[in-house]
Amino acid sequence: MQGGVISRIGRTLNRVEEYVLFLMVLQMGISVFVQVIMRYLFQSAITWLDELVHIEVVFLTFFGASLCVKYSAHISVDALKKSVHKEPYRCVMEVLNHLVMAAYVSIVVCFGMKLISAMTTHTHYTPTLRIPKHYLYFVVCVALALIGVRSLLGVYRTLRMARTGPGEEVKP
Amino acid sequence: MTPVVVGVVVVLMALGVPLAAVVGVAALLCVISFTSIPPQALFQQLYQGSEYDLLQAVVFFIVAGNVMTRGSLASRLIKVGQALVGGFSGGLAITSVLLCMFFAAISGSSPATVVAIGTIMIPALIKSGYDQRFSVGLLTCAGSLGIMIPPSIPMIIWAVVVGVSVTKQFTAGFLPGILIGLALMAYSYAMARKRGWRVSRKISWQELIEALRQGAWGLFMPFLVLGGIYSGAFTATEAAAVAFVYALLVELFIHRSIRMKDMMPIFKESVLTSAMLLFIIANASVLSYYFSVDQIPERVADFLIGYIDSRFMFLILVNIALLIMGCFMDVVSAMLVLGPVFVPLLQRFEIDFIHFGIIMVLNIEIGFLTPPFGVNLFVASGITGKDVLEVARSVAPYLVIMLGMLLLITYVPWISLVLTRFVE
Repeated sequence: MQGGVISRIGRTLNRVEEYVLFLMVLQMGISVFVQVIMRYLFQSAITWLDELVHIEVVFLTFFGASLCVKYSAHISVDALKKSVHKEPYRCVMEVLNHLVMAAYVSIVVCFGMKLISAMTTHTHYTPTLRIPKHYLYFVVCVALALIGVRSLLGVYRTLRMARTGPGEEVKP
Repeated sequence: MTPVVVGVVVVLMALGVPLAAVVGVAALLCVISFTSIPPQALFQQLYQGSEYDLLQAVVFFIVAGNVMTRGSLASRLIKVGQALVGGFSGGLAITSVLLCMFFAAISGSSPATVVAIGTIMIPALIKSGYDQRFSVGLLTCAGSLGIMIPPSIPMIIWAVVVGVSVTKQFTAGFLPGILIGLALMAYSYAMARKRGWRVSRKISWQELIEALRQGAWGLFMPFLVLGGIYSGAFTATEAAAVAFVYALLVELFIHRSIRMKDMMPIFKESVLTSAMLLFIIANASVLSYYFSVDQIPERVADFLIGYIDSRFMFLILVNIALLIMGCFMDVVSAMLVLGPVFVPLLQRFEIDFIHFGIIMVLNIEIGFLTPPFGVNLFVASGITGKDVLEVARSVAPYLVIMLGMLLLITYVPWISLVLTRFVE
């Protein structure tokens, strides 16, 4: 059962991603809080911590957006979708939505990769942590690609549900 | 090419493509077909759009709001409110509005306020003989004060979009928020007098002191969060982090109303809500980057200035446009996309950005109360088990009040701006 193995790996990765984001948000809040305490008690701040939180918001945005695809948490104008009652039409709309999202992020990833390859020759660094900027861009590309993958999985799921009828849900 | 882009956007939106992607596709099409900007710059802009430090505040306030709605902070505050405003006509309804205002001063979100206060107060009102419709409508509407009285998530986003001081923007919300609250209280009082709703249970001093003792941690919170911002002790972002950590510590270790295993769902919900918002913000920043390169706002302004000759005319048109848009899309996203377009128009008509921010926030509140994107309606329908449309009907009389307040606040800038003079 190859599919079983793949879906198990997928599930594990999902869990890991959720836990990492959860811990990251917790750590971001605590870090900024600690900075306030440091400033008043010790008259000094940890400069690299500011930068870390600064970078983490970016990661939260894009990895979180890919989780939003999984939980269909992205908001959209769904007046038309709600008024369509015929299952096949709704299905087509659903598939189109996922495909547009996937197409959009793949184009952006292409641009991003172009930018990254241009930047390997003259590298920019973040001010205090000295992380090459294109590493960060690459991580964002990975997150965007994940949005694409999850959207395509959404297409697969919709089509499968249309064939077998609602009932058993396939988790990506 | 312009009609093609507009057509694509409308079709994608109608099909139900996520708004973030619609905005992104629009930016992509515009940049590629109208400008010679290298497309790599788009990616860079998308990255930078999520980089603002103020956006951390959005995330922290969302977490703090979710923690407080799951925990017992709100229910303890409610006990204090009930003990303080006891037995006169409409007392309980007035208490509900006051509680929403108080909760608004510690949370920056309107749905969170409806959940926190409404879950307890709607059943409490009905049990004490208040009309069901009246109670559901009141709490759904008063909950929307959550974003008018600082802190406020939409105000932070507005400050990011047009680059005004968040502290000033926050300050501007106080008076309008209090005025709306007073209007709602006056309406409750009048209704209660007319229908003879009266709860005359005297509450003893001992009960009051006990309630105050139980609610102390929650009562202290606005002093910490807002006091911190206004005394200059910390920035809005830091205040958000303080609210986050404070709420978490109090609920986990002092009230013990949240256990470790509740943390995962709270954080998952927060991550989803914040990422959804942040992703739209990032995409909208690409579009507004294109706008600024191609001077779209200036062109729109040049075009419109020929038709609109006064500030009043402009403001009324903006309000109508926003109210109509609120029926098709979420007003916060509309604000993100349209904000940059408004900037030159505001300058030409000499309208203060901060005053305009308040008008926007009030429009968002009204959007929260009207279908199909009225988040408050969904939340209220969730906690009362009533149909969304039924909730919408019970909100109708309050909408009249809100629209009246919108007119007042739009045409009397003084209400929004008078307090901002006292903060630098």
